Amino acid sequence: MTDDPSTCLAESINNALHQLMANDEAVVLIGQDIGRLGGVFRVTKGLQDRFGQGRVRDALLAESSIVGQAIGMSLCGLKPICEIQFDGFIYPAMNQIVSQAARITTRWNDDQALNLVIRVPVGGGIRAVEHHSESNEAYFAHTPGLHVAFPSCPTDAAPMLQYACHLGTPVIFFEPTRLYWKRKRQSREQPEPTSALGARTVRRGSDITVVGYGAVLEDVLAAAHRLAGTVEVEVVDLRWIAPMDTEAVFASVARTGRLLVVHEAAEFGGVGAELVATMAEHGSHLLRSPMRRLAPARRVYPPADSENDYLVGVSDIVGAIEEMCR
Amino acid sequence: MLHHMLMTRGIDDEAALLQNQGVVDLWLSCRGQEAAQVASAMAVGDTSVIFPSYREHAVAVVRGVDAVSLVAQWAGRTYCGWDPRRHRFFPYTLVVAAQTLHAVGYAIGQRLKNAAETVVVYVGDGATSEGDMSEAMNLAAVESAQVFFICQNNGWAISKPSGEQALTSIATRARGFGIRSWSIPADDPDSTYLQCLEAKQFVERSRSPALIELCATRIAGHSSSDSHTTYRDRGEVATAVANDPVSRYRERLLADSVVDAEWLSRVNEDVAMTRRRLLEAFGR
Amino acid sequence: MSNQIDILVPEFGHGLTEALVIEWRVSVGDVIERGDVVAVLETDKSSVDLMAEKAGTVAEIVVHARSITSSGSVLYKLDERR
Repeated sequence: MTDDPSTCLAESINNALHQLMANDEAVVLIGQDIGRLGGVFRVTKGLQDRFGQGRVRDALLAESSIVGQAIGMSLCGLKPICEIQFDGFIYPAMNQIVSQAARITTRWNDDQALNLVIRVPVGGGIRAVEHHSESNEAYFAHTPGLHVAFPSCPTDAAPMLQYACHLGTPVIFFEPTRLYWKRKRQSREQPEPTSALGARTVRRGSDITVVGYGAVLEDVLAAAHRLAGTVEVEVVDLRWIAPMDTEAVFASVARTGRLLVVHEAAEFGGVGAELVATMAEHGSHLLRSPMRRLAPARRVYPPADSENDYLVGVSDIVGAIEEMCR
Repeated sequence: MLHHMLMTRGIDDEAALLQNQGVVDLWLSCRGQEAAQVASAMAVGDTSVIFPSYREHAVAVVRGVDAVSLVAQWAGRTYCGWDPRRHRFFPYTLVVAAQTLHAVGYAIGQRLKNAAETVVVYVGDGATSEGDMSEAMNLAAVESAQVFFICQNNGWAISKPSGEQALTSIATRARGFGIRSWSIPADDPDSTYLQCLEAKQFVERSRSPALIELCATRIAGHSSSDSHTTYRDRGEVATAVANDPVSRYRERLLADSVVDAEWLSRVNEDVAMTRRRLLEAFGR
Repeated sequence: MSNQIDILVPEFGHGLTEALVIEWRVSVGDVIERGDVVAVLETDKSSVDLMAEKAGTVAEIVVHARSITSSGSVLYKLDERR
């Protein structure tokens, strides 16, 4: 079973938003340019026309306000879905996200659910200018009180967004920018994940488990297809960074004996380190060779001309797999 | 109002003692600000949701939060010792000014639900320098959010005098955003109550925000960890102590025969009982 | 009926546990009420007016002026008035 090539990530999220807003009056959207313009990537197209300016709110140019007011709205019973225009601009909102949103439930002695989704376009590979290609999911994964979603395909994005909207605890919902309008995708299996927060094994193999999430998963699948017949690569899509479905990875490595983790965010202190450390602590008996992470060096994301040297590409992944399976 | 002020002072004194004893980790006194807090809280009434900062102990008392619940978070038992929904007095927010945006969002949300209500948010003078405060004022003005900003200007943000915190008064700054504002001395509860009532009624009638700057006195330091005599002039502190709004109001009401010795004695018993409860709950 | 108890040096907060006793404001035999300033202590951060935790008669000064003490040590003994 391969996933439907006719939709793309932006459309899938747009449909999910339409549905969410039609089914629940409490759902409101806030973000810069999401209403009149329909969003800089058109992900919120048509929503303001259909649901009005009260529920689809064009925010002032103030990220802290976007998240701060959304917290207030959630406290009075609404279900806000905010948008931060680009991952690089989330920093003015960090205070409201980390010191407020993530902590409100604890501060209220677990008596107050906080429905809050913060949608963020993430990642590069789009020849963008400075700040528009960031991957900083590690900051949020490290923050207790936050869930971190990182879908890699349209079929996942929609149900994950619906789940996040009603979860009752804040979710940072990353949307890989370079996948927004991509219609041609690598083929993948789509078994049901074990749970709403579970990882998904999107390709079965016997020689090595390669774990990834977001846009990089397309490159991992491309590498796996390229190696078919030589190395049988099993590909696991984490889907959620926090909480992380390490059990699914264990189950896979129990079969393959090898683990490679690939992500677009810098390797140092990245999410891959958490997975590899957990495997080392609890699953080293399963391994037939050392684990590896494949991710960019600890450098500031470079200008567009150099981005391909910086990013992990399909041949990098193929090379790493071949080395590990030698 | 005198009852609430005397009760708050009793709680404040006992909590300070418990902190000195080492059984409460930290205490932020509101000594000198009881008039401003009680008067504004009474003017606001029972039904509005209040987003406090972290020093509004007299407002908590007006809203029926009991002493042990109030002090619990300062003794490390919890981050909020009371039921925020029951008292419509939300948890203290220790990151300065962060609650201002929450209050504005709450007001916008209530209006979206066709349940428009006046939302009250308390801040100090230092808080007005934070970006979130400017964002909240601007957002409230642009959205015509039904928010009543109550700013207690006690003259200090730890060691920074308010004259150094901003060039204009806080009311002037709010006006710059398009918010109807007042700035008043707030040591007398009666006049403070009347002015806060007028401001609150403005918010309700106009369905737009307002800000009242209550100029009060900080008699103690910022917190029990703050040795404020290091940076404050001895004379200034002495004047503050001498002009204590709680004693002045008590003297005035006695002199005007609004209260009598018997009434005061009953209040003192209430306060003493509350202090005993605090000692039992936290003391050695 | 009285009862002699140990009054301990309190925790000062923020990881401060040591203090120098600067001076005593009371002596053995003085009757004190809860809240009376009994001694002035100095930590690395600031000076602290230590107040009486309980009412009673000062029975013994254990840590004398100009000595260093730490949180949890016995500071003075009190004949507690019940």
